[in-house]
Amino acid sequence: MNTEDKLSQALRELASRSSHQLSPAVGAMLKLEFHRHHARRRRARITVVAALLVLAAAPFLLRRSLLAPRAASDANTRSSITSAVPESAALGRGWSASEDSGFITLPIYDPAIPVEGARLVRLQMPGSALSLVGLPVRQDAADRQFVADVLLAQDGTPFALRLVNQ
Amino acid sequence: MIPPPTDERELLRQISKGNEAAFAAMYERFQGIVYRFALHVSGNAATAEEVTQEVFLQVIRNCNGYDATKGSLAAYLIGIARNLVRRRFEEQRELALPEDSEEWVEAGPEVEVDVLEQLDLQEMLGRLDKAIRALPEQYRAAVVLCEMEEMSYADAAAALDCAPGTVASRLNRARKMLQARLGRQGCVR
Repeated sequence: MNTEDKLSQALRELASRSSHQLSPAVGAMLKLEFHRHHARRRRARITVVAALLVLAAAPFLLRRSLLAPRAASDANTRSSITSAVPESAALGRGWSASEDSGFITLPIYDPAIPVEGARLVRLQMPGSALSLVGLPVRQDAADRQFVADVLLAQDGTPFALRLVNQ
Repeated sequence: MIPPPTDERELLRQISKGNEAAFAAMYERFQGIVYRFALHVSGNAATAEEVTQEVFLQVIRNCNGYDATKGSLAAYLIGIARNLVRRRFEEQRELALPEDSEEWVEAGPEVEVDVLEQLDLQEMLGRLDKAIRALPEQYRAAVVLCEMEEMSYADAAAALDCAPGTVASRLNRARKMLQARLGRQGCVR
């Protein structure tokens, strides 16, 4: 065996005799860190996915939240209108088949368009005007004054009315 | 439990997905060579432990840096370890010699070393260990990888970020340096 070979052999012997060992604590710490790292990554992924879902749903949610009060108001209005219209009074366009409302919807009223901020005003008006909006007013009562509750939309457009019993 | 994959790329893929068994398998497979390399190159057990820990922490945080076409996973990990050891050397200003130092080769006589036969094994290994630690870092790394860990020139080159020919050249010079140093200790007949 020449010197080169002896040196190589000695180097390998030195390597094999190395008594130093890596502390088991290092392995334990690394496994813990691995677990923590991937737990953090999982949380981050979940957060990103949740954020994407919110972003994707945002237009829908926004539209819904904007429409909800209007729809509720509209539903309330319609409910009060329809519930106030007696079945016996259900005549012509815009009439509702509900039981106990005295309200009659006017031809301008479109159930598809939500009504916001409706106001109720009490007016005195001639029978002829009531007849024009579809109320069954006898011809001889055309000049007579009637008291009516009129529902106005936010812009002041009347969309329903009812006769007040006198 | 599904056994961890043996293919190194698949192993890293599983690790990146959070497979703890794959990480444990990789750690068991490579911690020894990484630690021994860091130990022999740094000459300090505490530094070697810190470096080994940091190597695997880097893999935990990002295991996409490994390119199988450039070398084995062991070479990749040792490459990280080497950079960390060098950084510590720079921090501590303990670099043995500058990169292109010829001091060792020129100072030592070209002698046949009989010290390996003259001394008892334990003493001889002690002297050899000291001689390795006294080598400039790049030569020491070549000796540790190619002689002590019996790594191929190609893998050692990947770990040391140089050409295989450079590894061979460094190894040749390192051996001459070791022979010269042992010879100068008066162990030569």
